[in-house]
Formats: sequence, C-alpha cells, structure tokens
Amino acid sequence: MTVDLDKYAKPGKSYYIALGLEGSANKLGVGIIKHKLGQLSDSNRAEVLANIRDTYVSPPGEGFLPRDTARHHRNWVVRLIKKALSVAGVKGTDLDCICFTQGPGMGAPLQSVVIAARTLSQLWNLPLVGVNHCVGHIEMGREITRSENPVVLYVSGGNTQVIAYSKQRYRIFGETLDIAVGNCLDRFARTLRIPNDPAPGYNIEQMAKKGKHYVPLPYTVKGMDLSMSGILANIESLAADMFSSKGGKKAVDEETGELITPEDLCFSLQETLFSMLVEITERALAHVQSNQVLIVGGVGSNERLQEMMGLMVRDRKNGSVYSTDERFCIDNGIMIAHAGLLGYRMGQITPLDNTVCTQRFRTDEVFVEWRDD
Amino acid sequence: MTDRLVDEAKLLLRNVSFQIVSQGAEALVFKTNIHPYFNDDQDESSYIIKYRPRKPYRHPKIDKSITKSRTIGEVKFMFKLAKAGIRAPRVVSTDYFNGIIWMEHIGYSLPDGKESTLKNWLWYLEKVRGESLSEEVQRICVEVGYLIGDLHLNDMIHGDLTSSNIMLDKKGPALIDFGLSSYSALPEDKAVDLYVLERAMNSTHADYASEYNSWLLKGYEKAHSDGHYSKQANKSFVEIIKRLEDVRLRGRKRSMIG
Amino acid sequence: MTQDLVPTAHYESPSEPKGYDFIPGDGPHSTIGETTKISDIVINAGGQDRDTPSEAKDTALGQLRARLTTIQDKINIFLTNKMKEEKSSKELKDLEKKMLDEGVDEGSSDNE
Repeated sequence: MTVDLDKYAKPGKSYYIALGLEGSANKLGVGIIKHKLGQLSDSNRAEVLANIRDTYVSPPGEGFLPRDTARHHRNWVVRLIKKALSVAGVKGTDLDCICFTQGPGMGAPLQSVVIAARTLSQLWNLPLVGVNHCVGHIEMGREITRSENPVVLYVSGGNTQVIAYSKQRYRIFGETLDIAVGNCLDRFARTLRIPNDPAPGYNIEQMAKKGKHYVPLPYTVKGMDLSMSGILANIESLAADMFSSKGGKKAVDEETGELITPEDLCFSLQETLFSMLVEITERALAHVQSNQVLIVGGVGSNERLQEMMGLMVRDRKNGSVYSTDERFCIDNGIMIAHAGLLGYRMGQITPLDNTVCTQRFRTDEVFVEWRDD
Repeated sequence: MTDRLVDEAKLLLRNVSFQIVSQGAEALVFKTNIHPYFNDDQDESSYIIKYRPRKPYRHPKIDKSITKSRTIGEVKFMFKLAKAGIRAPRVVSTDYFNGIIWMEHIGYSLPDGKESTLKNWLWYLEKVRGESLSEEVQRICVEVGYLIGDLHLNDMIHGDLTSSNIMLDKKGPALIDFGLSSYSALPEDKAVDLYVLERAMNSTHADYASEYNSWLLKGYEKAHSDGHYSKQANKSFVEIIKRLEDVRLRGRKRSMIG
Repeated sequence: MTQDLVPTAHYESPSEPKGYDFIPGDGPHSTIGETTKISDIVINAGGQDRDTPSEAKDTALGQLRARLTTIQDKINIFLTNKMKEEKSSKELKDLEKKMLDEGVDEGSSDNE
C-alpha cells in the first residue's frame, strides 16, 4: 500500500486516539482505539484501549422494539462512555475524533446514539466521523486477524452479504434476497420461545449441538444470492405442529421413526442456512480467485458456521478462514472507532450538518480511501 | 485444488487420464481425450468432465440431494439448449449418483494460458493489452447479450450468469454451468437473471462495467427485436427491462435493519 | 446556589403559524417521564426494566435533566395528539373522497 495515512497527523504527536459509538441495533458499544503513525502492519498494530458493550435484551418470545432499544441506549450511553474513558485511562481532550455509526440500522437507536456523539464533539471540540456499520465490521476483522484481502462473509441480525474488495470499494457479490440470517434465527427462536439471553442465536447453537435428526428444508441459493424466508416459514410450521395441543401430525424422522425434537429443528435449520452461506462464499472465492475467508458479524461467532467454513476451504489450495471472537464480531464500539479513525487519517470527517443517520447505507457506497491495493 | 479431491476423482474415473482445468465453487473441471464409451483411435476431439465432489461441510442428506438434483437439472437443461439451438456444450454421458457429467469441450486457450471464459478474456485485455473498449469487445458483448436473449425467449433461466459462466469459442460465445438453472416465462425471473449478471460485471470488471452492461443489453434487445421469434417478443423485452429497473431498486433499497 | 437552567421549546407549522411554546412549569420534576417508560409489551411478557434513568442530582445539570424530561413529556403528548387529529381528519377526507369518486355509500355495495 502506498496511501499516506499521516497527512492529517497533529504536529509533535506520534499516535492517534479515537472514540467509537455503536448503537445500530440492540447493542450499545463504546470503544477507544489507538493507532501509531505509519501503516498498520504486523509490527504496528492498532491498540484496543477500551471496548465496552451493553445489550438490550427483550423477554422470550419478543423482539426488541426500536423505542425500547433507543431508550436503553439513551439511558446507558453516558455511563458506558465514562467507563470506557476510565478503562482506557484517557481524557476526552486526548482524543482526535469521535466516530459514530451512521447506518445501516434501526432509526431510533441510531438517532439516540448520534446525539451523544454530537454532544461530545461540541463539548471537547472534536471532529465527527460517520462510519458505515458494515465497513466497521470488515476493517476490525481485517485488523484483528491481519488477513490481507479476504472474501468477507458478513452475517448478522440485519445483514447477510458476501463482500470482496476491489478498487477502493467493498463490493457486494452476493446477499440475501429477503431476510438476514440472524433475523431468521431470531424469529425462529421466538416461535420456539427460546430465551433472548444472552442471544437467541447462541441458544439455538447450544440446542443444535444436541440435535440428531436432519429434517429436510428448502435449499434456496440463487447464484451468489440466497433466500431464507421460505425456509423460515417451513420450519415455523413444523414447530407449530410440534406444540399444537390438538395432537395433530407430529414430524418423525424418516429412518428411525423417532419424534422430531426442538433440538432437531435447531440443528436442521443451522445445517441448512450455514450450508447455503458456505456455498455462496465458495462461489465468491472461485469468482475472484481468492482462498481467504473472513467471517464477521454476530452470527460469525457461531462455531458450527466457522467449522463448516473451515471444511470448505480445506478443499481449496492454501485456503484459510479468519474469524474473531464475540468481542469483535458481535456489534461493538471499537470497530466504529477503528474504521472511523482510518477515514479520519485520510481527512474524511463529517460536518455536524451531515451527521444525520440513515437506516439504509450500502457497504459499497463507502469510498475506501485508506486502501489502494 | 487439493490432492484429496483429485484422488477422489481418479478413483471414480479409473483408467481415464485427464488434466485439471479448474476448481469452481461446486465442481471440478477436467479435460480428457477419452470418450466414455466409444473406442475410436481416430477421434482427436477432447471432452470436459465436470465432477461435483462431496462437500464435507454439508450434512450428508443435504449433500446427496443437492448433488443429484443439480446434476440431473444441468443435464436436462443442456439437452433442451441443444434442441433449441442455443450454444452450450453437448452432453456425452452422465453419472447422477457420483455427480459426473461428460460433455463436449468448447473454448480455447488465451495467450496467457487461461481458458477462454468471458471473464478471463476481458481481464486479459484489461491487464495485458489495455484495449478494453475495442470494437471487438463491443461485438462480443453484443453477441453474448443476444445469446442470453435467445435463452430467455425459450423461457429458460440460467440462474448463475457471470462472466465466468460464458465461454468464448471460435464459433461465438456459449453458455456453461447450469447447476442453478430453471424454467420460467415470468419477466421477474428473467430480470433477476439479468440483474445477477449486471452485478457480477460491476464487481468483476469495475472500470468498464457500464459499457459492457450496455452492450450486453443491446444484444439482448436485438434478440427480441429481430423477428425470429413471435411479435410478442418486443413487448416482453419492454416488460423485462421495466422489471430489471425494479429489481435494481429493490437491491439498493433493501432495508438492512438490525 | 447556582442559577436554574430552564429549557424551553417552540413548535410551529404552516397550519399553525402562531406556534406553541413549551416550558417545564413549576414541577416537581423527575427523570422518570410519563412518555419515556418502557413499552407495556415488555412488562406484560414478563420482562424487567433495567434501563431506568438515574435520579436527578441536586445540581444545576441534574435539575436540567429533570426539567428536560418534563418538557419532553409535554412535547410527546402534544405531538401524539396532533398525529391522532391528522389521522382522523385524513380518514374522514378519504371517506368523503371515496363517496364522491365512486358513489359508494352505505348499502350500495350490496348490488355487486
């Protein structure tokens, strides 16, 4: 890379520190990151000074409503920022910029967090940097794993995309045609009244480990895109039969004749959805002739998905899979600080008038000025 | 490609010598001079063997059902393409259970040694010769668009149109890879097929995609307007393009909440 | 004793050019607002509210927080009523329009 990342460095200072605020869904995250001057490399890595998160958890059977989520963020943001600053041992005035998630996400939670960002910016007289949530995930994943130019599978509650970098954009090669994979899992969890604490997807993962029988479900890959709403409708009706008080028709395993359990459904759903995700990722790999995969987003912390991806790349020459643990793949503030700081180092700051958040903000809209490979 | 997969293939294709052409996402592609059932010493032609290996990441039940349905689907589609006179490799023989298709070999080797897919050819021109917008490129793109128009006029949907799935041959462009194909007369399905290609062009050939895409559509329109199909063809072209605009918008507007 | 910080708000629209002013009033004020509580859905589903705001401290900024909550309540109630009014007048207009456009009135659809 030949990009000059230090054109805007403050004279006499050998590093940058940025604060990042994330609140596009039900997680409120505050992170503080430090970059030393010069290119990031194996010997000059970004330093996580603080990375704190608090999650709004709704009762079983309920999704998180925008107004309650926004209220959660509003009432916790000050405490979290104070804590992050004290963990990092920095003062507001030590910072170079305030980074915030500008989208995509849920409107009300985004708006409640950007107000905190604007306030801090004026309080400490610091520039604001609006960050694309998806780009935050990608850049943090690349930095943590030091993967150079991977095909990125971004899987979360609101997003399902296969992304590859080309010519200063993160380009979307494939994506869901209807609902996101995390949303599909969350909604299924609600049908089975699986608790949302700590996360519905995590609880499904644990139940799936006990599943034995595979129940056939539709498999809907379309090129590098996929569709999941049909699968959800299918398995929801199986679940409804299972809990129907009338007796009715209960699903049994074709071979053993054993009754299908909720654990079997969790197992079958995961196997089907993840097979589709791995397949579209492999299609993108073949298409761009790469062998590196980086998995980011909340669903990326699922060990079965990571394992399946590993089995896929094992059959490709020099293939490797990179993933991060829940600190970095579940929504967090540090990724916003990191991606925002990369933009800031290229002079990308967001004037106060342009800090309005947007629920729709495509990954490929961002000019990735800090890369030119 | 790992040795394990090649060993698996050798086991299934005993006594057949082959060269490896490529490892796609779901299939390995080999080239051979051996015909699966004729024994003709005079036969100089070469054949392609497409092999869908077992995917260890998938549950065995999912794996079996996908391998079988895609292999069968692909062969039937190729048979119908041949009947409709749409350029694609001809099927020689198949083994559904093991996911193997033998077919006619089409295409040639580019000066950089790669096979002549549209993608490799365009990349070669972009990188090596710097003449991406020549009249020849325009002519080929229009021909490819025409070919896809022909496909859709037969109510056949490719399902995975990318520049890697279009093979250039001395006789003109041809389609390959029909594992995700389907049949439909709906403008919606045809528009999605075009959209998939358009997006693949945008992401694979970013610098020249707008020219390539407009030439492809020009050829696509030509297939609908030059009168070798019914008079309805023109009308259906208008409908498909209208749908294509909707599909594009849908992609950009899709809410990404959460 | 520090000086009180009192927030105010002003609403104006083309249909109400005179506008409308909001002040917190005399109080008492607290950080628990009528309109900023957690949804009933959550409580009815057995959920707990762990996100209540901290109490207002007896400082100028703390009191400002409490007054802001009161004024926010007043604004929320005012805007909610506005939305309700607009909705009911729109429904009335729609019905009127439907009757004029299609000649639909009670009973006439029986013939179809």
